[in-house]
Amino acid sequence: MVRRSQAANSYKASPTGPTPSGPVLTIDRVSKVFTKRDEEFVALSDISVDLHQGEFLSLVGPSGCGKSTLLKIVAGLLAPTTGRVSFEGEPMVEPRAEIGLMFQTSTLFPWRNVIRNISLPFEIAGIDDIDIDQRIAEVIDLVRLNGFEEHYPRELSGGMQQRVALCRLLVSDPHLMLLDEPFGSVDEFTREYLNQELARITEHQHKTALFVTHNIREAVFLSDRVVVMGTHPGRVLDILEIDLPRPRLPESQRLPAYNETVLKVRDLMGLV
Amino acid sequence: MTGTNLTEATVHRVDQLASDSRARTLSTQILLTGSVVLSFCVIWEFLSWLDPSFWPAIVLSRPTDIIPAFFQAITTGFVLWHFWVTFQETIIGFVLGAGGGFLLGVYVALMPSFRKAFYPMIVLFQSTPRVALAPVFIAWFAYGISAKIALAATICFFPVLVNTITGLTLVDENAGLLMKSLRASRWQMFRHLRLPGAVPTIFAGLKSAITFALIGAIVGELSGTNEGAGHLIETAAFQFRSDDVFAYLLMLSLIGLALFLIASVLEKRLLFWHVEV
Repeated sequence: MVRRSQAANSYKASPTGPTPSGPVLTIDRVSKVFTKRDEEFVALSDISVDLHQGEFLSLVGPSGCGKSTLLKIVAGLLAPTTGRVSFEGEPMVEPRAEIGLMFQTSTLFPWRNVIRNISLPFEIAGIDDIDIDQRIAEVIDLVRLNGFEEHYPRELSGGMQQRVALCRLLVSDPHLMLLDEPFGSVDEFTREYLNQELARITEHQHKTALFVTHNIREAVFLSDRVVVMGTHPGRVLDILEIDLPRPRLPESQRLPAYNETVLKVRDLMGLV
Repeated sequence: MTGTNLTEATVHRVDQLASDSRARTLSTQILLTGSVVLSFCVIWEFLSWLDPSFWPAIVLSRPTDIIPAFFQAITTGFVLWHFWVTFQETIIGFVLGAGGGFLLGVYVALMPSFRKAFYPMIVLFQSTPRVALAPVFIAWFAYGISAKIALAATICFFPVLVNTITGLTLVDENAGLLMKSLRASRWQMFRHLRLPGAVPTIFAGLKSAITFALIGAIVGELSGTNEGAGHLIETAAFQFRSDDVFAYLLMLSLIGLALFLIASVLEKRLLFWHVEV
């Protein structure tokens, strides 16, 4: 089920999962029920989906479909009410170091400069044996933030802050990237640019990613498969394969297949 | 590539413009404040000459009497000694009160059950006028320096306590989740996220505490002791030496201002990253 050409995987050795054939992530009949003042609210109902090595999977749906809740469950930050999540063959019971997380807000620490924000994961994990400086320089290069190493978050635009957050995610070379509307709070043009960057980086590094958004066009542009979700309760309406060639380029959005898929998702979601 | 360079240049240009305008604002500020103070003194002086019977010099001295009294006061050994006592009380009281407030604040903020139990009591104390404790402390600690330190400490304890709790409790939810996803320990969460995030709020508390400490020391001295600036002012007022009273008041204002400025400079240094809202 690896759909990227191996030639794209030239940056470095691909992250090694224990079983190359099995899925990286298995979401198996997951439900989540919140109880508030004796009232039950079904946030997620019976969600099942697998994510394979090198695959880019998007969860797209309106607010309240539970896509962010599902992401938190996958991250090990929230326990499902029923069902289970396995990562690299092991059940998720707590956050894992091999899973990286990124939010709509950059959540950069304003008292740390760019370099020290990016090195945070190493500091928390107590890692100082590998060549951290080299690794940080690589990711800064990758997102083209050169020259801003000593800047503080308040001196950066929203889009640049998100690129720093992306660096912080990439620097520990996660086996799975969880992205919760990462470019949801930047303007349309920056968002488009950052999406192209994200496509380039994930293709280049052969990354496995789970991407949450309510923007159908960006989900189709980035993904190998799109999980279309509906509300009340949060559930999977359909899972669509995206038949667009890699690498994804700005021109990809002019392909008839791109627009057909976008329309198909809209139909599934009941949009006119 | 050129895009990056351009953006970087823009950032520097913006920094430059900001610092230019800051310098301009500062000199305008000094000019404005200076002219207001000067006009105030001139009007004061003028009115007191206009009708000396209305404002006798023993009740309200005029600036031309106060200024010489001020320069005499700052060169007189025993006056300086009294102010030194007040200064010591203020600083020791501040360190004890603010330090205690910070430590208890950390403890209360990190123990949610403790917070629920303690908060109502903190609010109750917070709304009590704590200078009213002066006679109590004098009864406990007698007329020495310790009663006044205790009062200064009590007064500056609460703003630091409350601001520490508030600062440590308000944490960006996603930043917390990020730290959890990085498997941060409770200590790392505190050290790397909660504490640095709370520093702006804690500093606001410290800034009010430092002036509160001076108030506490003076109130303690006014409540019947025989040393300190408060005692000097009380004695001078009894003896109708109005020019000395105002000279001492001016000295106290300058001490208060200096302490506040030191706190502000420290704040600027430590909180250079903070975006003021």
